[in-house]
Formats: sequence, structure tokens, C-alpha cells
Amino acid sequence: MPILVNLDVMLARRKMKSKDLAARIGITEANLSLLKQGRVKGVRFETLAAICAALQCQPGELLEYRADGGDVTGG
Amino acid sequence: MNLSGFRQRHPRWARFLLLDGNVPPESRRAARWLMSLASLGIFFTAITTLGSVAMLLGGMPNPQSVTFRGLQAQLAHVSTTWIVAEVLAVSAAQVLTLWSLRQLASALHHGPLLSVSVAQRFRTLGNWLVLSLLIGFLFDVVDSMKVPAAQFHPDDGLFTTVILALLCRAVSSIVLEGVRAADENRGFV
Repeated sequence: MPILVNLDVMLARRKMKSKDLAARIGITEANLSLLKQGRVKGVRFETLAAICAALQCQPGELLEYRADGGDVTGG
Repeated sequence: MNLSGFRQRHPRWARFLLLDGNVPPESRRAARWLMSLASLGIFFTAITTLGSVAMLLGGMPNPQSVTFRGLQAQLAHVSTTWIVAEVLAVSAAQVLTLWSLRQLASALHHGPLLSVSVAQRFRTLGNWLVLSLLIGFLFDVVDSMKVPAAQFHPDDGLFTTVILALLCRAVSSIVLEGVRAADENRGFV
């Protein structure tokens, strides 16, 4: 999958823990962990909007397209 | 299929179909009733079968009764073994159909509704319905050839059973599709 999820980069920049983000956006830590590792089929717009609101960033800062990207994990 | 959209638009249906993952009380109650009725059906079929076989092998409790005389006239051309075999085969098919209905109700009771196990049990019930129909049908055809008074004619029950069997298979496919959609939905966060 050439889509990389840079969620933990943003978490580090905002100095926020995964646990806190999961609580703020209303998903489980397990699901957030899967999202961070890019092991999900998709992200709902409402989840993306909640993450962007919580981390005060744009979707483009969280997701990245790499044509050669065989590794699904981001960060 | 977008399950979260469906859940928002039809919350009561979503709750009934267990898209939220737990068995709602109304589904559980309906399944419990179904289990009880299926168990009762099995019990009464067994009792009726035992009674019929006892009467066939041991004689009627009241040989002078109108029922006995009518039956005696009808069954004069058929061997007792054949009738006992017919009663046992038809009853066994009924009991197994009711048992598969009970298994289905049990799966619905324990949940989740959208599961492969529920789909398989719907399919099994459909198969047993067809099988019991075929058994009854075959014995009816043979009886109509052996017993002069017996006439074979396809009735409403036959068509209803065929429709029910097809419906069970259709519901099984729908549940399987639901399982697939739910699995896919779980891949989204």
C-alpha cells in the first residue's frame, strides 16, 4: 500500500499520547494503533476530521502517498 | 455497504440486526420463544410417534371406534411394517427439522445475528425442510398407489414448505452478505 500514515510524527510534534488522542476522538487504542501502523482498510472522514481537530493539522500532514511505498507503517 | 450510515439512518433495525455487536433484548426474547416452541414441537412429535407406533403394533385402545374402523379399512392393503416405517421416517424428518430450527434459535439467542453460524443454520433448516418435504411426498405417492382410498394431491402445505425452504436459503445468503459487510466495516476506523 503506497499510503503512509504519519500519525505518530504528528503525535510527537504535538507531544500527545496515543491514549489521550484515542480518548479525544472516541476510538479504541487498539484501532488507533492499527491506524498508526497503517493496518486498516480505510479511515472514515469523521475519524480523520476528529484527528485533525485534536492534533490541529491537515489531512495531508497525516497521510502521504509514495509510489514505491511497500511498507504500510508510517512515522 | 456503509454500515455506519445504515446504523444512523435506521437505528432500530441496526439494533435488531446486532450491528452494534450485542444481542438486543427483543431479539433474545424472540429467539427464546422460538427455542421453546421448537422444543415443544420435538416433544409432541416424539410422543405422537410413539403413540402411533404403539397403536400400530399393539392395536387400538378402542377397536370399535369410528377412527379405528376407518383406518382399518384404509390400511387393509398395506403391511404394518410399511406404515411403521412411514410414521418413523416422517416423524424423524420432522424432529430433525425442528431440531435445526432450535439450533438456529439458539444461535440467534447467543448472537451475533450476523455470523457465519447463523447463516449455516438457516441453510441447514432450509435443507431439512426440503428433505422432510421429499420424504412426505414420496410416502404420499407410494400410499396413493397402495391404498385405494388415499389420493395424492399437492396441497397448500407443500407449496408453503417449498417457499419457506427457499426463504431460509435466501436469508442465509443475506446473513452471509451481512457478515462480509460487517467484516469489511471492521477494517475501517
